Amino acid sequence: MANQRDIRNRIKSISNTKKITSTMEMVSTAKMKKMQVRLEQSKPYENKVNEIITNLISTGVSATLMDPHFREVSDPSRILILTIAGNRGLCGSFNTNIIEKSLNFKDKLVEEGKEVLNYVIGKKGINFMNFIKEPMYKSAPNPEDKITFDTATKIGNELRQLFISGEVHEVYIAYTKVVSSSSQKPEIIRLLPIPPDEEVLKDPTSRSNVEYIFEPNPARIFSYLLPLFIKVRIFTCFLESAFSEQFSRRVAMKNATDASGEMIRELTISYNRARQAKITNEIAEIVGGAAALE
Amino acid sequence: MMSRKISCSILTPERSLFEGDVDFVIVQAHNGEMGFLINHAPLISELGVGEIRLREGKSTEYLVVEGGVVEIKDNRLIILAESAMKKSELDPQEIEAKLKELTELKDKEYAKFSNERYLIQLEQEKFKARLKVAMK
Repeated sequence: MANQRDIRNRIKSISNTKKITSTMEMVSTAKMKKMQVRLEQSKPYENKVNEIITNLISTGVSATLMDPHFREVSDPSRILILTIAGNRGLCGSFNTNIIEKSLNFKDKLVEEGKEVLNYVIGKKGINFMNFIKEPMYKSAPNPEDKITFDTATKIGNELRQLFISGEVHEVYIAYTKVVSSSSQKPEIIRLLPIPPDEEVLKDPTSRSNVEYIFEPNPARIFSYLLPLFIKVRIFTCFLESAFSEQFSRRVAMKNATDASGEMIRELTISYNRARQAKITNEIAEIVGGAAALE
Repeated sequence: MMSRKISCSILTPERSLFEGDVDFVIVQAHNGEMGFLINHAPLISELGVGEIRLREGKSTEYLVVEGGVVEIKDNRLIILAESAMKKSELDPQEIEAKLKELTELKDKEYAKFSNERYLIQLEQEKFKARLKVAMK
């Protein structure tokens, strides 16, 4: 049996770890709540942008579908995947899941004989790609909770330029989608070309028959809204990923805290046992010693 | 008199900036100001960089908007701005300093007609609009 002091040291170190994990749990709970608020704040904006685009399409502006953002290449051979991972670990399988999803997707495309460019966001993602010697087209750390719309604008413009100049034929985003506030799963969506009927299909009954006045003209508004749509998309993807990261960190830290509590309990029992055994031993020695003197 | 108002919301991707009923709205459209009163025809317009005035009773609220779109339908006005700020969030001194910095940078660093110079020019416009609102 391990000796008393060893056990005591272990208890001490585990309770230190427990303190850290429970603090991290609280920190990520707070961050998660903040992200949730931001997500909710950006939702009406996203919905509105989608709605206006739907309205534009349903008013039958024929020029709209000619926009370069819709241009499909019949045989796309160069594809870019934007993977949004986290900067830090200790968040369960969050990073592994999203990287795996993106790599599987990439392998599938490569099998079809396509050239795939990796654009990786998040230090953990970058480190992993370096580790498996996977070439990256570009990489950047995750802005995490400092994400602003400007960041999304920059990335959006960059991707749009690549797409419109014909350098890449399709752009996908791999991110962790927030299905509900308690369930997230990695997902891949096509960013460019914009799937042509997506907005319209969402809810065909909501099509309004209102005759809008467009100022200066529908095409101009449309060509302004589409990039905006893409930026908003990217922005929400970032927000959702950040939320998911904090959520899975919270869960991971909660599990760690619970596990360490259990460990401390077990160790305390064996500590008491060791102490009791020692005392019994000592008494036996004293009694034995006294008996020998008589 | 409640029925004479239009409900107005100003949204940015980051937050909802304004939500409420107002009498009269003036926005900076792409090529000039545009005013909205009750029973305006449905309209969608592109916005420029400039100020928004919301008149409610006798008081007027000022905001600055930097690009976006405005939609009005059934007396419901929605401004989707890429970036917008209330007057109370702006500090004229800070903006002035920043503006000066940009002007110096522009004259010193970049050649005429270069792309960078144009970008700074755009940035300057934004700060000028902010300053204008902040000084109200």
